[in-house]
Amino acid sequence: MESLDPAIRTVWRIKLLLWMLLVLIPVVFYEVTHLFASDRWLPPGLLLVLVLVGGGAMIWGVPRLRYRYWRYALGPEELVLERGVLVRVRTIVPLRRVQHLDIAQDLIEREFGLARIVLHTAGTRHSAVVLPGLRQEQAETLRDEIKRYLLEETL
Amino acid sequence: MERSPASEPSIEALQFRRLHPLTLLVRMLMSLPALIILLLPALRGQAVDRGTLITLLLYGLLAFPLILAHYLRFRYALTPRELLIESGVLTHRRRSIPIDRIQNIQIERTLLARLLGLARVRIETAGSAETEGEIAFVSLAEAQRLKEQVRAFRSGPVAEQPVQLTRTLLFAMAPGQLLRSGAFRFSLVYLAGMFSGMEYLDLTPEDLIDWVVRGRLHWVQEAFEQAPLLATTATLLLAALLGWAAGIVVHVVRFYGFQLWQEGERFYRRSGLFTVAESALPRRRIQALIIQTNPLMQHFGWYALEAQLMGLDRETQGVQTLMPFGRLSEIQQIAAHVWPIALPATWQRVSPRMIRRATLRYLLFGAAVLLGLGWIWPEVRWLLVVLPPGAPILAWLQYRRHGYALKEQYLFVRQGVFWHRIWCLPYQKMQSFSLTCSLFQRRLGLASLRVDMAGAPAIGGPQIRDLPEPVAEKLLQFIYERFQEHCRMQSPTS
Repeated sequence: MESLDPAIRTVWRIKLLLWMLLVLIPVVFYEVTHLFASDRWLPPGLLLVLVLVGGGAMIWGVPRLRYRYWRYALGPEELVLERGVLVRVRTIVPLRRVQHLDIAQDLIEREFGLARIVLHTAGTRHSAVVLPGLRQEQAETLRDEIKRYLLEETL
Repeated sequence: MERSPASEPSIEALQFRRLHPLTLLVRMLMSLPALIILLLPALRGQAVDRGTLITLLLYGLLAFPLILAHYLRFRYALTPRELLIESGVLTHRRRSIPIDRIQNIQIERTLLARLLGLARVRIETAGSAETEGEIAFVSLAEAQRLKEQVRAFRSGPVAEQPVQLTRTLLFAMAPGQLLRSGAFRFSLVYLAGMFSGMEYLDLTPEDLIDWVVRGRLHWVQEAFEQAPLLATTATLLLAALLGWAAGIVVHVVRFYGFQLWQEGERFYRRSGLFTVAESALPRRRIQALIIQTNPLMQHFGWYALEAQLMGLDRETQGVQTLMPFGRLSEIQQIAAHVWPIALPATWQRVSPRMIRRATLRYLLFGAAVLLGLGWIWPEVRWLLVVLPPGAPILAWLQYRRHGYALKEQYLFVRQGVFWHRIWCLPYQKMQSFSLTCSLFQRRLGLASLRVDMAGAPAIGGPQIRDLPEPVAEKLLQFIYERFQEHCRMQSPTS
């Protein structure tokens, strides 16, 4: 089983940071508007500190853990993925069931030269299986390998 | 119309094509409604102020370059083996769809596209509800070229020889049996009807009750005011009676004149009181069979048979009833026309530790719901007394009713107490396999196994829950090997 590219941790951190900003902005707004309010029930700044500490811990810890438990392996006829911190999931996607596959990149991933592979099957629950955190050329070789299997098998 | 040779020499250097330039115009026109919504406040005032101008400017600065960028980034290429589509302004995406997997190519022409001689090409592959690839817009000739070329590239054209098909009626539901089967159903639809009616007539529940018990029935109201317990019992009884009656009505409306017949490799079903719905179920697309029952029906020996279908769109995908009501032997007879299945005589149980997990889950969930409702109606909190004995019993029943069986061709899974279902899942139709293990399951050494099938409902599909971890691992391996075996056996012939 192989691990993802370590740079994915940074990508996840940046994404978490963006999510945290969504929480942070209202909190800062609350702190500023209630700075001198007499009816406040929390000491000034506590909420902000809590969010900062909690968010910081999450940004530091969650990607580390997530990275530690992410594994994948391309077998002769299947792609096996293992992931999940709280709920561990092992998924086997038989290559012969792949309807089509994508390589996708968002802005942050592109900055780090990463890409993810998305396998689409006809099922409903795991109809799109995502393998993130691959280096671009690695993703492309993996894609080509899967594609070779698909084209040979179905003809 | 452009004619292309059936098989072009394979082009190693991919020849990418772009969309028709008029696409730009179409997309701009299509984006205008959004602009109108943006400008709606200003348009009402009938005066062009600075805000309107800024909106217009921003829109022009954002939308038009986006449309242009989208056009420039989008290109596609068709090779004898696959269709490649590259797209995306912010997220680059390169999609490759093997020609073999393409089930259908639709050429769609909206009014605007028709005026400009353009067409939208939709590429559908098996199983998924949504369109897998879309090329919008190209000229009509190019759309037809794509369609013909894909058809030519497809290995082994599926020639449907017009064989004389005989039509055999498999099952027809008599009115008496329809009523009897309706009697086992229960529906809360009447509540929705009642509330919307009250909303419409602007009545409150109190008004309604006053109206019902006015005049001669007034003694009822007095009796109820004297004895709250009697009132509660009567309300519950009435609700149950109404639910039961509504269940019969809903069932009759849906399954009136139910017929199932077979023509060659296809099944047809027709039913309905007001609108007669007829649907075709090709045997090839059936992914799983489901035998369904509830405790009351099971007590009298009644079951229902359903088929899970893989389809191209939402209407043809999903679960369809093959037989709404019948004895187990009849169900098996009908099922035998689809696949030769025999229900397993013995079922494998999962780990008894499931009871512990389920008890805890029901306790927590039940307490949360009851306390939440108790916030509104304090009397409901009395029901908390039922939880400590109720949750373990329910969990135990859940455990007893859950099980799986491995057969030569099929995996059988059964689960559910009040809504009991038996799934029959052929190995060769399985799509993907997953083993999940939550934090709490890990502490008890348990794991759940789920097999994904095409057309399965997103929630409530078959799952073997709470197996001991080593058993789960072995079972996953076993099922996957069976799957591979069946696929290898099947692939040379098809």
